[in-house]
Amino acid sequence: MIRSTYYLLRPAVKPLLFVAFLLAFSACGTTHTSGSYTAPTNVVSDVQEFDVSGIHVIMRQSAETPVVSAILFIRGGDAAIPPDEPVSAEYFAMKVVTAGGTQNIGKAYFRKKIVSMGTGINGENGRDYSALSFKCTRENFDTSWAYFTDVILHPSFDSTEFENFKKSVLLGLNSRAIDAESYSTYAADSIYYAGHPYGRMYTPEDVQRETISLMQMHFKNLMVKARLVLSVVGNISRKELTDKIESTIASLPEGSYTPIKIGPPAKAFSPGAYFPPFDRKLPTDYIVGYYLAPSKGDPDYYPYLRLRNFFGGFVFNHIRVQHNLAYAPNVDDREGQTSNGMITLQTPYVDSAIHIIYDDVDFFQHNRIRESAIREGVAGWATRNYMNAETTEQQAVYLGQAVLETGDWHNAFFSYEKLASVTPDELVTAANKYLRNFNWVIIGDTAGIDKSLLLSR
Amino acid sequence: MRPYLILTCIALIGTSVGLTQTANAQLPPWTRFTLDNGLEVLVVENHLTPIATIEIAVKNGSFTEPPEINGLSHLYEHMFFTANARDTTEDDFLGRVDDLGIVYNGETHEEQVEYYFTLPKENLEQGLDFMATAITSPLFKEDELHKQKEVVLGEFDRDEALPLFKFGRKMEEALWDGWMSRKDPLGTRPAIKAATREKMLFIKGKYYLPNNSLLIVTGDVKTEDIRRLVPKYFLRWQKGPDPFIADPPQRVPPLTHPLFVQDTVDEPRAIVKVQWHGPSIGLDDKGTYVADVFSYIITQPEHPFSKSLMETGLAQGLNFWYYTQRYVGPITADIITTPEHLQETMKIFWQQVAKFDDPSYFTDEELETAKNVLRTQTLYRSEKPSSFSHDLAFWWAAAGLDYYGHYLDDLSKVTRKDIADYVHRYIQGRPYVLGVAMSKAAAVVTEPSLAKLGNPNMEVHP
Repeated sequence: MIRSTYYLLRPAVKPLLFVAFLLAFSACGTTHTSGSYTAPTNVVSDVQEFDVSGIHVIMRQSAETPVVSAILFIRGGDAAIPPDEPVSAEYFAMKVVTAGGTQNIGKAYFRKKIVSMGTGINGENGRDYSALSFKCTRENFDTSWAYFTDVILHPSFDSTEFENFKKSVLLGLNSRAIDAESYSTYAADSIYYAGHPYGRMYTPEDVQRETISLMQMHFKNLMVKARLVLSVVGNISRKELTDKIESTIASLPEGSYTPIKIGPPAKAFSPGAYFPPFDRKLPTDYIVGYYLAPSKGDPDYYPYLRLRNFFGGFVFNHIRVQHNLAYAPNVDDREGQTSNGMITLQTPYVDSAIHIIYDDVDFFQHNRIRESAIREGVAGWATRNYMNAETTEQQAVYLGQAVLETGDWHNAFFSYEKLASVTPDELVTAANKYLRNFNWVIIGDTAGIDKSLLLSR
Repeated sequence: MRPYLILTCIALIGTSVGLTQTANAQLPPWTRFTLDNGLEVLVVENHLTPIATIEIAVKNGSFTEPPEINGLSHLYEHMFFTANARDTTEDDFLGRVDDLGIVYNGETHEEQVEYYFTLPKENLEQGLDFMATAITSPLFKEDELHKQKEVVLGEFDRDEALPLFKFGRKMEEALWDGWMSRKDPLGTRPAIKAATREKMLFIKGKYYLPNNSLLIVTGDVKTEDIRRLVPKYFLRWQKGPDPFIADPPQRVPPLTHPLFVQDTVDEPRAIVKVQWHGPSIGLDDKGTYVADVFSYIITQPEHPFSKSLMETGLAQGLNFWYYTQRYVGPITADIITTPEHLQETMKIFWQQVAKFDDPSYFTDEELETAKNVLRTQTLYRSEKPSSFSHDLAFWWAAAGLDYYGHYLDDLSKVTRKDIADYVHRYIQGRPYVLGVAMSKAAAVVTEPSLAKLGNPNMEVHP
C-alpha cells in the first residue's frame, strides 16, 4: 500500500492530499493543484437577478474593471434539437450568425467596426444550452451592445459565410480520426451515449443537410424570451442595462420552452470495454473511462466532488508520480443534465494502469477518510475558485451557468462549507455508488489487454 | 509578439536598485525594484479576488542548449517540483503545495523558464518562502531524476502521437538548419536519457542566479509587503557571474536559399506553413514592433490578404504572425486548404506577398485598427493577474522590461515606410521555408514542390 494512502487514515499524521491535478499543457509544462485553508464564503457577491420584459437577467456591477462581458444563454442546446432537424443546426446557427453582419449593417462594415473596437462577438453551442456573447471595453459598450443585439434581432446569415463554414465543418469531420486524443473522446461519447440525446454526433450526412433556411428557422425558434438568460458583468448599472434591454431584445417574442428531462444513458448501469479501430500506429494507447456522476444540484454532488478530488489525486499520484506509467492521467467530470466522470490517460501499460485505478477505487469504497483530511483539503478549491473569477467573462459564464443548471447563481462557484462538511461515510457511499460500471474506450495497440479486468468494476 | 498576444503600455522609469512606480490609464500600475543580489522584482496589485501569484522567470531554455544537452532546461523545470533542502521528497513538496492551497505550473520556452504558484493571499509569505527554497535548493535526487526523465520521455511519446508533430519538427529543422537545439525546448531523447545530477547542478550554477532571474508577484498583495518580504527570503540566493558574458548565446545564421518540406498526414486537408527569419531583439527592435503591427493589419478579416484566401473559400484557416525573440524570431504564415485548391491558394498567397510593400496595400484605418487591437488585447490579458504574470515573464526574457514598457508607444509610431522596410528586409526576396503536409494519395496527384508552390518571381538575396 502506498504511503500517502495510510496518511489519510491515521489521525496523528499530517495528510498528504494530492488533489485534482489539473494538467494545463503549455509549451513544456506541468500543472497541479491542491490545498487547505480557511475559506471565505462567497467568491462573488453583490449579484443582482431580475427580469426585464420577460428576459431573465443576472448581473454584477464591477466598477474596478474596464472590461464588460455579456452572455446571452439560450436554453435547449443540441440535446433538444428535434429528431427531424440536423443535430448540427445549433452549431451552424451560433457560428454563422455572428460572422456575417446584420440586415442593417453590412458584413464588411460590421467586421471592420467590431475589429477596430477590439470587441469579440461569438456564438457557441452546447449540449444543454448555447450562448451568444460579447466582450468589450467599457468605452465601447454602447456600440458593442447595439451590434450584438442587432445580430440577435436582424441576423443576416451571409451565404458566403454559410458555405465556407459548411465546407470547413465537413473537412473537419473527415479529419476527425486523425488526432488519437480527440478521436478517443469522440468514440467514448458515441459509445457511452449511444441512443441518448447526448449521443447524436455530427456526421457529414447531417451537415450536408444544412441549408440557410433551416438555420434561419432554427435560430428564430431559439430567439424567444422563454429560453433566454442574460448574464452581464462589468461597470454597468442595473438601470443602464435595463434600458438597453428594453430598447432592443425586449422586443423578441415571448415564446415558450418546455425543458426536456434527460436521464443517464443505458450504458451507465453496466461496465463496458471497447477497442475502436484506429488507422495509424500509435506509440501509446489512448484510454478514456466514463462512469455515471451526479449533476449540480443533486444531493450527492458535493460528496462526489470531494471524492473525485481525492480519487483524481490518487490516480495522478500513483500512476504518474509513483509508477511513471503515464504523463498526464486525469480524472474530471463532464457536467450536464446527466453527468459522467471521465478518466483519461495515455500509456502503453494499460493493464498496469487499470489495476492501479481499480486499487484506488477499492480503497475509497472500503476505507473511511479522516474528517480532518476532508476539511483540510479545500484550500486548492478556494484558489481555483478565485482563479475562475478573475475576469468579467469568467464571472458571467459561471453565474449564467449556475442559473441554468441549478436555478441559483449562488452555485456559480464551489461551496467550501459543503465541501468541507462532507462526512467520511458520505465519501464511502459516493465511492460505492459512482465509482463503478466503468465504460472504457481504448485506442492503439489493444492486443493482449485484459478485457475481463476492464469489465471487473 | 508572443504566440498568444501580450502587450502593455506601462511606462517604466528607472530600472536599477530602488523602487519605481508606474501608472497608466488602461492598465493597473506596477512597481519594480532590484535586490542587492541582482534579483529584479515586479509587483502588480489587483484586489478583485483574494489570491496572489508568485512567479519566477529564469533566462534559461533551449537557446542555451547545444545538442548534447537539448531538453535539459525542460527536465530541470520538472525537477523543480521535487525535493529541495526543506521538502526532501517529492511527496513532501506536494504536501506543502497542498497545505498552502497552491495551483502551480512550470513552462519551458526557447528563451525563458517560468515557475508559478497561485495561492490564497493569506499564504503569501509562506508561498514566497516556499518559492525561494525551491529555486535555491533543489536536491536533484537520483531516484526522482530517473522518474522525471521517464515522465519527460512520456511527453515525447505523447507529442509524437500528434498527427502534425513530425511535420512541425521537419519545418523547424529546415528553418533552423543545424541549430535546432537552440529552438526546441522539448529537446531530444538521447540528451534526456543522458541527463545526470551533475548536469542539473551545472545548469543551476550557471543560470539559476538571482541576477539572471525575475520575481513577479501579482494579485491581492500590497507592494510594501512585497518590499519587506522578498528580501527576507530571496537575499539568501547567491549572485553569480552573468552567464551570457562568458558564454554569449549565438544567433541562428540566416537562411541562404528557399527550402521545401513535405510530410504525409492522413487527412483530407493540406496544411501549409511558410516561414522566414524575422527580426531579433537587440539587433532590430523597431522591426519587431513593425512585425506585430503588420501582422495585425493583414489578418483583419476585411483586408485583401484575408479576404482573398478566406472569403473565397480557398483557405479554411489562415494566420500570419511574428514571434518576438532575442535570438531570431520567426515570421509564420499558416494556411489550411485542400489538396485540390493548394496551387491556387499558394498562387494567391504569393500574389499578396508581392503587394506587401505597396503603399496602397492597407488603409490608414487598418493601420490604426491594428494598433488598437494590440492595445485592447493587452487590456484583456491584464484582466487576469494569475496569467498576466506569464506575459511579464516572457517579455522580460525576450525583450526586457524597458522594451515592454514602451511597446505601445512605439507601436503608435509605426509608419508605412517602416512597414515597407520591414517587408523588404525580412520577407520579400528573402529565403523562406515552405512546408506542406497532406495525404500520400493527394500528394501523388498534386505533386507539391517548391517549384510549383513557391514564389517563382521571388529573387532570393543571400
